Amino acid sequence: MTSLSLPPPRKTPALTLNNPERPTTKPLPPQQKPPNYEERCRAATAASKMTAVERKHHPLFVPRSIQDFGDGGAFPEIHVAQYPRHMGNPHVVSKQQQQQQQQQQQQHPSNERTNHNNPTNSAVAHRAIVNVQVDPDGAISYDAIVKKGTNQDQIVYSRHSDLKGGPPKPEDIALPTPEEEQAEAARTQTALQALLEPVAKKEETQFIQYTPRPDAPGYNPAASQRIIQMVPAQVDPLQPPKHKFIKAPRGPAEDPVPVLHAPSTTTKLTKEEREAWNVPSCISNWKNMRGYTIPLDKRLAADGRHARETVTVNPNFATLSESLYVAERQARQEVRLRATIQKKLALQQKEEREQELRQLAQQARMERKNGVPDTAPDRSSGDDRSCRSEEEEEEDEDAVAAQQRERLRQERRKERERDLRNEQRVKKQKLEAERDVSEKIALGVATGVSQANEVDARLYDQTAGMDSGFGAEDEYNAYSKPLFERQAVASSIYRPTRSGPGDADEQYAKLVQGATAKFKPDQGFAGAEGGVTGVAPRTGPVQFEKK
Amino acid sequence: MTEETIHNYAAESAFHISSRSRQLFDEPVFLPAADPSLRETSVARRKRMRYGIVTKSEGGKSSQALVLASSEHKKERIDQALVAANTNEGDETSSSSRILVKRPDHQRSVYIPTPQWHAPWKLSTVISSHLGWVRSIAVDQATNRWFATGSADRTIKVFNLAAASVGSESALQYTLTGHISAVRGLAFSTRHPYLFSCGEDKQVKCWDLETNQVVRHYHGHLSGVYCMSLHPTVDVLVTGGRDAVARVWDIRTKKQVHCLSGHDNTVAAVVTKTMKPQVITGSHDSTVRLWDLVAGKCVTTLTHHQKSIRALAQPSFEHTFCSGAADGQIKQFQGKDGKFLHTFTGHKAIINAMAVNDDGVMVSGGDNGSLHFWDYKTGYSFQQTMSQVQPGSLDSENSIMATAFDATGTRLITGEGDKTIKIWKPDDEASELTHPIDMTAWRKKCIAASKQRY
Repeated sequence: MTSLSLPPPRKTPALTLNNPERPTTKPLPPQQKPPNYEERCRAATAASKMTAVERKHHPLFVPRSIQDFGDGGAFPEIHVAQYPRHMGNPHVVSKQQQQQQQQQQQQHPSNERTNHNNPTNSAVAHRAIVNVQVDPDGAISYDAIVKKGTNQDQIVYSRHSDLKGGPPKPEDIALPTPEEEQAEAARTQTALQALLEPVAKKEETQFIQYTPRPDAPGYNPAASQRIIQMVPAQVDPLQPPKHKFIKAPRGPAEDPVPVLHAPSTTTKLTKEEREAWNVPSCISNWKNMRGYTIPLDKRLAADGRHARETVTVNPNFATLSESLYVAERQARQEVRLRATIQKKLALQQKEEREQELRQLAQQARMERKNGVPDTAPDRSSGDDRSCRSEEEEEEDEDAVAAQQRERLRQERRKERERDLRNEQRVKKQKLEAERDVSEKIALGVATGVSQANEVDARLYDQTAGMDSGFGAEDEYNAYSKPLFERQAVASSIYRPTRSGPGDADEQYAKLVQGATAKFKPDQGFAGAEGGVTGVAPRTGPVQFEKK
Repeated sequence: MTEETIHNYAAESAFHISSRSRQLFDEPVFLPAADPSLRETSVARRKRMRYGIVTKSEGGKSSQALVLASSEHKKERIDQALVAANTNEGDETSSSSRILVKRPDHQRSVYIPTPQWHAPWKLSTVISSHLGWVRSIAVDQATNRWFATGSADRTIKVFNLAAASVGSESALQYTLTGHISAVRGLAFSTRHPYLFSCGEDKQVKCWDLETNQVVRHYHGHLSGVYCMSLHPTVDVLVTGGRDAVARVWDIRTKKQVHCLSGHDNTVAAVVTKTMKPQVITGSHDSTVRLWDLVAGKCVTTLTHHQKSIRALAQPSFEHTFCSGAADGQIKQFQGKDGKFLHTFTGHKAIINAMAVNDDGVMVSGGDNGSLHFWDYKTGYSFQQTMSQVQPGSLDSENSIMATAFDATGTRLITGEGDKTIKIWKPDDEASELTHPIDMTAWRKKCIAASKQRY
């Protein structure tokens, strides 16, 4: 078994289904059947022993045409891509697809340039299943899958090099020449003009020749033919638009393109980070009537987030303050001790000094009595008694006076205290009386319901019902009486009194003098000029006169 | 028919598939055991690309030591090749059955471009005229006499550029009112006496600057319009907005020519060019799309950014563009096909606005008031500065909302969140000696970038 068909070269043009008999280098004769299993195996064994040159002349059987498959399926032992009945054959383009392609080419001849990224036949890209494609270097191009569908006529960047970038070639970034620009502008202009034109065409008048049927009802033989002029109806330019904008449904999604950037968030945010980024909501215009721009830090402050933040304090502060406290206490103790000792010393000294003085006094007394200086041994003489009695008398008198003074002082103090108490009581009463109802309620003084007299008495008058006190229906006197009787308040509200001193002039003078008038010294120094009460206020410093 | 033959057949066929799967229908290649000359398979070719080749000349004929040898004869050859490799290069690895030589070092070396020196920029004038955020700026590129600013106070103000840049009181020419919400986009036409504006009120207006009146409305956006761009050669206006589409308007007839839909979220930046992907849009769905204006179709989708794109900028001196995103990354792409070129890292803020001048200075303005100045060609950041808020503003109001260079590229106008317009100019006294390029840091950055793993 030597005569076997060669696989067709891939360069052959795309085939159509209506012509499946594509030209092969060595087609099977029409009657010849494909080799059976045994023949194929034998040929393979033989081929493995041949040289390359020999093998070129005796290639192995590869099923290609429908006849090769002989009304059967693929040969499992032949490891090449097989398409029985051309099922899934990417190299066979259906008639429909071919037509579509031709149309596209006619419409947009410019697309040829964009197709340069798609070296393979576009028929491949139309399919849901993409065959493995290989680039000129022999590497599998994995991006075939993204270069189909809507991306077919687009440039798709999917390579690693597209991600890395690099310096451009000078010719790639060269500016276009003015001729190129002009040509492009002209091309664009014509294309855009074509888009705008159909609308302009519509506005032209049209003439239609019209031949009525002779057997039609109302046929006028005089007018066997009519020419009708079609004129666009005048449109009022000020009329509101008749159409309404309706949101068009979204078109079919485009095929995705490879994403050539790192994911934006590589790590999940922690709770603290999220809280730190939480921007407080803006201050409502109800609260910010004038519409001031409130800075973010103020809004944060209003949020109170940082107020409740726990602050960790260095424990050394505590130790420092404690040691300071201890030191202070110690120092105080020492000071107190020193003070007591000093006091004791002072007392002792005082005692000594008194003793000394007493001695001196006694000496002096003795001297006065005797005319001679008395010495210590004189004390024990007979004079001693009389001297003491005198002393005692003096002391008694002193004591009585002291007692009186003390009593007077007590009385005065009591009086002062009583006055003070009185004054405070009056003040307090006044305050209580003037207190607002809301305050009273807040303090629990007035509950509003507890007291019987605060209930509207009219409610008890059942015989008369609502007519008893409320008056007519349309009268609005539900709150004819105050809830609480507040005479004190009512009286404290401004009421001119005539009890004040004198007339308006006097009051005016008082006002001019101001609140400090009562602090004027009404008592001068005795012996100074203007020392008497009631004289004009001082104009200079106090001057004393020498007598 | 024996067991052996079946096995043989299967082995032969399997070889077809594994090594030649690309040339699925080509003639099968057999590797007979006795064949002295080995053919290079696709696998070997791939290996060669990756590791370099070890070749050894033998009898005047160059042959390769190959992977698939099995006989004793082959092993000898491999040993010979190994020896040859050892004598040639010390830097090789060998597994049990293959000889791999690492790439020489010069191929792995880091690409460190030399940045061009630019003078640092300093604040020149502060114009406090608007009552709201200044969200858009446009410079009259035709005469370079005016610039207009659109603000959240619903007004458009037109200033005299020369007077404004010296801080003159009479810089404000006139105020255009008509929008009922913040003005988000402005564009001066270079071919007509028109100023185009768009706002959050879904309106796109065309102002006639000879009468200072609105002469056209472009009605159709379903939500706020956030960006706009005038086509440089065709009389077409492209606007993008919160309805996630970019709309192409015919300026004269006010008709919508195309609705470029495909974005999933707000279109926040749009740029138009003269050549093929004529429209580029950046969106809050963190993609950049290039559109074919002729067909009204997406040419490609760029997914290099992690967060929403708020700014796009393209220079006049090369066919590239840059996009700035909320993740603080600026990426440079090739203009003709959107091939990714380069990332400008370092601006750690939400990038609100970008602009490039003809000298190759790119500025990116952040949402925290930071301004970074870049050498556009290399991505070297030669200046980082913070904008100062005007007295009475909060710190949080410090943000750059819009940037624009004037036609000469010597004045930078920024619209800010503190309601001011600031004009910056290059420092005349600075030189390369006073403000040298920090090459060590730049080299370090380049090396770090080259080591980045994806």
